[in-house]
Amino acid sequence: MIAALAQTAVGEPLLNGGIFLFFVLVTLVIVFRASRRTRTAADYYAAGRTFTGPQNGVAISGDYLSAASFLGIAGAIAVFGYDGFLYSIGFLVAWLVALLLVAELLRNTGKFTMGDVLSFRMRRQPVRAAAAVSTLVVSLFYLLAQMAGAGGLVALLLNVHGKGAQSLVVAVVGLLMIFYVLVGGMRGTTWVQIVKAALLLVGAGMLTAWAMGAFGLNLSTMLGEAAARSSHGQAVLAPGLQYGKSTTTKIDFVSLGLALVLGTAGLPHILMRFYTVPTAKEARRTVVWAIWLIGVFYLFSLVIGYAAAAMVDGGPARIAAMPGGENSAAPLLAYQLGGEFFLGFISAVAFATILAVVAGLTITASASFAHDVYANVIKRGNLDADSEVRVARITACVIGALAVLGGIAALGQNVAFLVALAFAVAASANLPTILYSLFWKRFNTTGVLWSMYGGLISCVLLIILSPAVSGTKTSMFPHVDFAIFPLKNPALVSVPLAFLLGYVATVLSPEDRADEARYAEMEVRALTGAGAERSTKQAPVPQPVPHARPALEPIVTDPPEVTAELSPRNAHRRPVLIATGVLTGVIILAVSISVNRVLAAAPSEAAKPAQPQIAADIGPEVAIPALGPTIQVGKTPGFVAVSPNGRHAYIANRNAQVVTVVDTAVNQVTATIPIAAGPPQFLAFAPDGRTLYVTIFNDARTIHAVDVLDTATNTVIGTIPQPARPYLPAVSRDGKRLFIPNHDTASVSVVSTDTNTVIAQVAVAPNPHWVAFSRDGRLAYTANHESNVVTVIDATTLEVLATIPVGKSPHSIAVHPNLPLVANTNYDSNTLSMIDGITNKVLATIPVGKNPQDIAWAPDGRFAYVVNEGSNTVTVIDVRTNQVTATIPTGIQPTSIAVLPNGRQAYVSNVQAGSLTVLELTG
Amino acid sequence: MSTAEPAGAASGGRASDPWTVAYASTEFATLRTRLRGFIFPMTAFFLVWYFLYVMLAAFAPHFMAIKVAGNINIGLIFGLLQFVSTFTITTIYVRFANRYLDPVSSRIREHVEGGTW
Repeated sequence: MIAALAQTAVGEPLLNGGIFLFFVLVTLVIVFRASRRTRTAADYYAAGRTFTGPQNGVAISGDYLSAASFLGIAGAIAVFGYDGFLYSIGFLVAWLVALLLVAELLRNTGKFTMGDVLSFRMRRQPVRAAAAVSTLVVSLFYLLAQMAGAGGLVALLLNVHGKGAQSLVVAVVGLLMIFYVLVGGMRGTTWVQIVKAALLLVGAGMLTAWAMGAFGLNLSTMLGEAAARSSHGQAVLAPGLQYGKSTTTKIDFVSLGLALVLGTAGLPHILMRFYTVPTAKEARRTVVWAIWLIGVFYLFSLVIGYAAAAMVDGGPARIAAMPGGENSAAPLLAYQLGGEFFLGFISAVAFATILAVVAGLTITASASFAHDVYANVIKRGNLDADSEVRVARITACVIGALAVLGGIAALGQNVAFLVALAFAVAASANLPTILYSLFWKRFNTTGVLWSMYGGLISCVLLIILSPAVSGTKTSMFPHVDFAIFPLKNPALVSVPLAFLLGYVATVLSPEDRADEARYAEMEVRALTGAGAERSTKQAPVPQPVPHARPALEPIVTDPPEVTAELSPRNAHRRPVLIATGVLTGVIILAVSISVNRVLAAAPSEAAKPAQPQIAADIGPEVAIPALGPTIQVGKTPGFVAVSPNGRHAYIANRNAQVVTVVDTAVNQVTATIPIAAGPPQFLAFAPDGRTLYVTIFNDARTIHAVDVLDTATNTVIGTIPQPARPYLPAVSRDGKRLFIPNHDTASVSVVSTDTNTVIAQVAVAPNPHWVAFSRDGRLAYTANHESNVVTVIDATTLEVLATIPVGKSPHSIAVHPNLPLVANTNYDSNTLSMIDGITNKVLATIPVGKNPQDIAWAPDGRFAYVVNEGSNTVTVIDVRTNQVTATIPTGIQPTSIAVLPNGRQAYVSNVQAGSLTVLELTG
Repeated sequence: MSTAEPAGAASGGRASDPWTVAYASTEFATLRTRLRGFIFPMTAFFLVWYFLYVMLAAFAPHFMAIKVAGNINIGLIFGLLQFVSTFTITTIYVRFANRYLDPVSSRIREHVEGGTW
């Protein structure tokens, strides 16, 4: 994707790779330093509870703001407008649940995991097992979605395509994640998250400030521009584009809103972070910091999303058509604003985001298994802290391996619903139980089990039976249909069900009486923090001494916190651990390097014309255009061009030595402009449409010039002498340079349009015929007729970057309006070559009519139109399939084609017939 | 070490157990009432406010599309107000907790941990 922006194959992925590598090295150092202080179970699971509220607040935002938040929400806003914003509000408001109902009480009553709180006054083993099952399900779903996304995302940012290479990237992400967790424990993971959150906020803040500056700090102007450039118009500023289609989608949206707002405070990896601070007050400060940071970040996303729609070349249509889809909005905006380096920075931020989130998920899942399942259920609490941490580390490796395998299996599949599912499970299995446990005295073990398993099972079942899994084109299994539940998000059903089950099961099981003394203890602990787990820096908690009853004495009934260092035997483990870490690091580096090698060689799938996901409602063109009227335009009309505003077509009448003007609204000739210097051959408009450049030469090769024509007055205002038969020129995107191919001197003249003088000559392969600029204006392409190659020129440095062999006699060339694709016609091999704008390789060669002379793209890029001079036809090619969809007859000897910017009509010049053929592209 | 199940509900609630004593104290009752009196109504308020917004976005997009100033419409203002309300509730809660909850809870904590109940 990134390379598609710059259209250079080598420079950018290397830059991105370099910045990634730098991030990885920095975090490795941090993790090593953190490992020195990871000695006890509290260190490994909860970073010794030594983080301050603000630190943990930053880390928790780092844990929470996944790549889906950063790239997904900005992208959704860029493409679907307001509906993307709706997500971020649910993600933010959810924190109030955490702040008011959960964070402090949980911090005061638990130790490492959600299971600690839930089992406090219940029968421990079944409750812990249920908590662990739910934690593992949520974490694994979330992890899987992140890994699959990571593969696709990092691959695109590093210009890695092909399944093998992407799998390698997933494996590298997995190894790094395991390494962070294994060596750094919670402390290392937290620091990685802090670094990532800082990078993310700084990056997003820079993007926002820059974009707002570009619109004079006026949000309204930006919104107006975004709406003007969207095919949906003003609709992008209001809700409904994504969810407003039917009543079902509207209800689905409400269901999603419920999952988001109640799910956050039930996400195990968020809950676990509250144990890394020393007191409940710090937990409160944590949430306050998180709310401010996350809120500000989502405000940034709002601006970034609309700014991407308003500023990125090609607008929302191009963003949606990029290989990364809407995820590419923020990177594209970064590139647009700050060039390659800023893009590299933003890409590194996205990469950091993935790593930090997956590491947080892994440590949570491993803690839940080791602490809840292994230590307390399997070993029934008879396990020393050393062994428990060892089990947690082994579990982290297993989970990492599972995530890598699952991530590879899920590559390319639509697993986005897994994130929504994780939130829905958290909202239905975890949150009702947490709330009941904390606030409802009568709640008992039966209630916990019914509520948790009921919420979990109903959630998973409903999603399996939903359109997210089967029945629609975007489903995981699009070809089968067992979707009997209409909503993609089950929360609307499963959350009330879980609350109901918890209530009913409790009420109907009076024999399962809750332990009132334990409830009293729990509530006192929860509200006051008495006897709560302390920071390892502080003295152990002075546990209250019951006067008479030792039965209740083990206040924390789980294995007592081992605040002492691990046994001497374990002191030897640290070098071993670090050695393992170093080895992993070396392997990762080696793999990264080989990945880059593989990638460099891998063919780019990004630009395959079969891939573009062009929104169905953008373009009006049809596969088989209708033949419209024929307009008589005088003798020898050799070339036609339409003005950028689409109101006029200008025709170069070669031997008649005039330029004819046709009003496209009425399809009639409205002016004839004499060209005194000689026979006009080709025409090129400046982007503002005010100036038309007319190239002139005669058959005797005695006249070579370019006339400058003012389209307001239709008069020639200047002449630029040229060395040798100027063919079709092109004006740079900024309007400052005119590139003129000199057919007979194997060179391109570069003209400054301010002074109309030649300022440079670029040597290219012989017989340059056509010049075309890339979408971003950084590259110029020439089709070199007798050399059978296309030359790629850096439009700024004027260096020749590449020479691409194509078919025989490449005559004309055209750049796709939004994909990194370049197409040229091969006059003597009767074909069209489709070139990958990233790798500069020919992707496909498509047979067309005889002697194809010119090519044009539909404005939305769906079809290419090729004019066949030798067979008097126009060939229509569908870019998604590379198939010819129609062949339309024209007048005698058609030589050129121009498409109106609205995509409704195309004009074909018939040089021998003296006419224009009009094609009705919308059928 | 983890124990088996607690000795049984019947034996709980003895006056000598510091937790039960604390639980039965007036101070704790005050703390509990203050906390619940704040968080429950506030939670109800922000959930209603949030779902009002969600419902309007889902079922009244035309209302949300009404322009107020330039390209700023009711939907955008409503959305930004959700940010404002979230930030405001956060700030109010922190002030409330610092002023009315923390002093009481630390007193109780000191008593419990110091064994002075």
